Amino acid sequence: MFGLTTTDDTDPLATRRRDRRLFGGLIGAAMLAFFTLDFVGRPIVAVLAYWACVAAAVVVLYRSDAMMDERDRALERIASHRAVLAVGAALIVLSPGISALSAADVYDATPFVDGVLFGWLALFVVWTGTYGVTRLQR
Amino acid sequence: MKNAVREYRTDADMSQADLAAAVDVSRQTINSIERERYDPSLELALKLADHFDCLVEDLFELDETD
Repeated sequence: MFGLTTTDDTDPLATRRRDRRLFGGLIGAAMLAFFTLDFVGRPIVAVLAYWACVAAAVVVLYRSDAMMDERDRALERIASHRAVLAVGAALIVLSPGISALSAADVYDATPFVDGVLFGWLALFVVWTGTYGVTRLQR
Repeated sequence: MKNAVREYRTDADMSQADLAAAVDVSRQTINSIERERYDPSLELALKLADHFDCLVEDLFELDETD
């Protein structure tokens, strides 16, 4: 009725669809709640509502056996690997390049660019630590 | 890696969704395996072989690029 479909709990594909929709809905609700409540002048409530929705989404993600299968996890690994490679290549080129341009008085990095480079560097520090811990565990 | 999953599935008169439900993965995963764009884990390969009551080697075979 009214386009609603029922979910058969014994059907893993239906469970997967349901959990994915629930996860996406909670993330959407988090964003909507944050921006709406912040817009109407309730910033603290906005953050609390945002955290609550994201926490619920994380619970769905970790409690659901059906939401991600091995291909999803493989795609996630490949995407993460490519992202780290891309950021690494950009960092290798840009970081010394900007320093050289600054030394030659050609270009001074804005605080925003400095922040981006620092964030990428921090990503690599976290990645290196995570890799080391994972290597010890396997 | 080449595979005969599509042939086994159609011989069994199953849809991709049926097979996905039987081995507990998404329909997209079965589709990717059949199109040889994704090589399944050993666990999933064994599940598929078990489902079709055949050997893993009957379903999957190395090709010259592997």
